[in-house]
Amino acid sequence: MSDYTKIMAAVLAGHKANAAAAAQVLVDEGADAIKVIEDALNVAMDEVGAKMKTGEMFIPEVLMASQAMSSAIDVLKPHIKGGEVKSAGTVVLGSVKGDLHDIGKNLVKLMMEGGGFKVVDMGCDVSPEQFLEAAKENEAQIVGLSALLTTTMVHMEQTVKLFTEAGLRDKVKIILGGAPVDGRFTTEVGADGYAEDAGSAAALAKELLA
Amino acid sequence: MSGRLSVELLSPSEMDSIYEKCLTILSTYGVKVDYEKGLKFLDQAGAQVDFKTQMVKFPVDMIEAALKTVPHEITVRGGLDKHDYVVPHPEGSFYTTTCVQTMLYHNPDNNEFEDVTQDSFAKWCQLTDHLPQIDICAIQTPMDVPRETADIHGLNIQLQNTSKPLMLLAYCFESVPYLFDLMLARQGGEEGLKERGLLMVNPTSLSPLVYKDMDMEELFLATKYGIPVAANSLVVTGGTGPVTTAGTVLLTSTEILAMLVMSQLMNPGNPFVSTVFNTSLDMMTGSALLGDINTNLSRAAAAQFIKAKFKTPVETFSYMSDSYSCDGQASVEKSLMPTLDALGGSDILYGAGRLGGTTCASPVQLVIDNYLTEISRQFVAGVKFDEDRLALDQILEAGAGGNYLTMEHTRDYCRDGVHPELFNQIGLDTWKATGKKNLYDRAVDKYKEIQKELKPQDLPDDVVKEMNSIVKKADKAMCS
Repeated sequence: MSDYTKIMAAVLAGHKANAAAAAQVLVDEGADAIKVIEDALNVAMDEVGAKMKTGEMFIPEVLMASQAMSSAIDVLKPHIKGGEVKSAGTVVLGSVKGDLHDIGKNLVKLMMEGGGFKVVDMGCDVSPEQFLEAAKENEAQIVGLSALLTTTMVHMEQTVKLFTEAGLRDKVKIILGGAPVDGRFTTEVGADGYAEDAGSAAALAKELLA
Repeated sequence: MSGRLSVELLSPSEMDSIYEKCLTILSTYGVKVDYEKGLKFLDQAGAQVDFKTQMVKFPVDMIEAALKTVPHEITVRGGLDKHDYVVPHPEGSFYTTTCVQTMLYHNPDNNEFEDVTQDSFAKWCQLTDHLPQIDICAIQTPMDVPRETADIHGLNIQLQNTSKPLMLLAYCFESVPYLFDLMLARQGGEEGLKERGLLMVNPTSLSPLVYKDMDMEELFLATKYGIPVAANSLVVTGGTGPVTTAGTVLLTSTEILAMLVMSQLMNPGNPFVSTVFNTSLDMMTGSALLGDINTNLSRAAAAQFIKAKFKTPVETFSYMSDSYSCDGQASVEKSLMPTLDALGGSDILYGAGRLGGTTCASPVQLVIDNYLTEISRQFVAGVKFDEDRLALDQILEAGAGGNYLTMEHTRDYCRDGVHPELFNQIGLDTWKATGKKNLYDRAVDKYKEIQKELKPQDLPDDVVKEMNSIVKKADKAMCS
C-alpha cells in the first residue's frame, strides 16, 4: 500500500506545489490514481471540512487546501482510465437577475469545488431562463441561486416556478443563499434548502444528493 | 479639553502614504464604470476612458482639482428648518442615522421578527421624528408592496411620516426617476427641491472599484439638483477588499475618492459626504460581519484619513451589531463603535436601531440607541474647562469636610451630565418591587409610552395625492 502521508499533509497545508509533487511521486511508484484520490485526497478534504466546522481552519486555508487538491488531481488525471474523475455532482450557480453582487456566490463556488462538485458558474444577473438552459445542458443535480438584494429575491421564486413548469423539479434540487434569504422564504418559494453561509452550502448540496 | 476629543489611529506619514496610493490607483489603474452615459461624460470631462474595458483613469490634476471644489462643510436639510444640519457639527458633536434596507422588524409585543410593513415603517419614521438624538431617517424595505418598487413605496412613506432628513438608496436603475419625481412632488418642483433637498443620495461602489449604472444615474440626478451625495464604499475585508485594516482604509478611500471626483466633475461644489460602510468577512463561515472590532478600527481610521486628506464630512457604519436581540452584545457593539468612529472624526454615525447584521431593525433598540448616543455625545465632547468650572472658590468655601449640595454652583451645573433614564438608577428593593426590569424591559416601556404620541406629517392633501399617484404609476410600469 502506498504512503499517503506527504500528499495528505500537502493538501492540509494548502501547498499546491508539494501536493502536485507528492502526486507525481505516487504515480511514479505505480500507485493507482483513483485510489490516491479516494483514499488520500478525499480523506484529506474530509478532514479539512471537519476542521472548518470546528473553527480550526479558516476559509482562505480551506480554499488553498482545495486548490492543492486540484493540483494533485491534475497530475493524477492522465493516469485514470477515461481521464475523468467522478464528481460529487454538477451544480449550476449564479446571482439572480438584477443582482450584481457575487462575492457570496464566488465563495460558494470555491467551497463546492473543494467538496468535489463540478460547478458551472453563470456569473451575475442570470435570468430564470438562463438557469434552466444551463441546468439542462449540463444535466445539473443542483441549482444554486444567490441574491443580496430584496428586490432581486423575486427572481428566485420565478426561477423555481420555471423549473417546475419545465418538469425538472424531481431531477434538480434548487438551493438559495444570500443575506436576505431565510428558511421561511425558502419554503414559501418552494426551493429545497438554503445555506446561511458559504461554508455550509457544499454540505447542504451533499446532504440533498445523499 | 473640550469641543471634540479625537484619537489618532494613523500618523501623518501613514496618511501621506495612503493618499499617494489612492492617487496611484486612480491615475494608473482606474475604476470600472459600467454605464455608457457615465463613460461618455467622463471622457468629455477629460478622464482617460477605455470604452471597451469600461475602465476610467483620473489624472492626478483632475483629482486634486476636485478636492479643491468639494465643500468642507455642507448642510443636510430636512422638511423643517429645525432639522437642517450643518455638517461637520458646529459644536464638535456628530449626527446619527437609522439603519437602511431592513426587511425584518422586531415586534416588542411578541418579541418576534416580522416582515417590515408599510404600517411598521411609517411608525418607525414617526419614532425617528420623535427621538431627539436620532437625526436622519433611512429607508427600510416594506414587504407588503411589490418587491420591484419597494424603494419607491419606502420613500413615499418616509416623506409622509418624518420631517427629518432622509437617507435614500435606490434598489434598481428603473426606480431612480420615480424617486426623484416623488421628491419633486413633495417639494413642489425643481426650485423647491434645490432649495430644500430633504435627503442625501447614497450611490455605492460595487467593491472592488466598480460603479454600476444605477449608482452612476443617482450621481447624475443628485448633482443635477445639488443634493448632497453620500458616496458609499462597501468593501468587505478579506472578500472584496484586503483583509488588513490598512489595506481596507486604502481601498475604501480610493473608491470614495473616485465618486468624489465624479460628483465634482458633474457639479463643482456639489455637497459630498464620504461614507465608509465597510464590513468584514467572517473567515470561519463566509458571513459578512458588521459589529466586528477590526472593521470598526478600519472605519475609524478611514474617517481620520478622509477628514485629513479629502476634508469632506464623513459618515460611518457605527450602530451595527451582529446580535439578533437587544442584549449585552448589542449594547457593547453600539457603545464602542459609535464612540470610536466619532473619535476618529466621523460626522454622521449610521445604523441606529439595527440588529442582526444587515437584516433586522428594532424600534426598542432605536430607543436604546437614542440613549447610547446621548452618552457617546457627552463623551466625545470632552471636558469643559474654564475658571468657573474649575471651582476653586467653591472648594475653598466648602473647605475640609464640607458639602457642595446647596451651593449655587452645584445647582447651575448639575444638569450638565447625562442622565440616561433607561439605565437603572434605583435601589434594590424598588427594583424588585417594580418587576426586576432590565434595560430591554425599560426600553419596551419607553417605546410604548412614545408610541401614543406618534403621528404622520401634516402635508397638503394634493401633495399626498400626487405622491401616491407617482407610486401607483411606478407599480404599473415596473411590476410584472
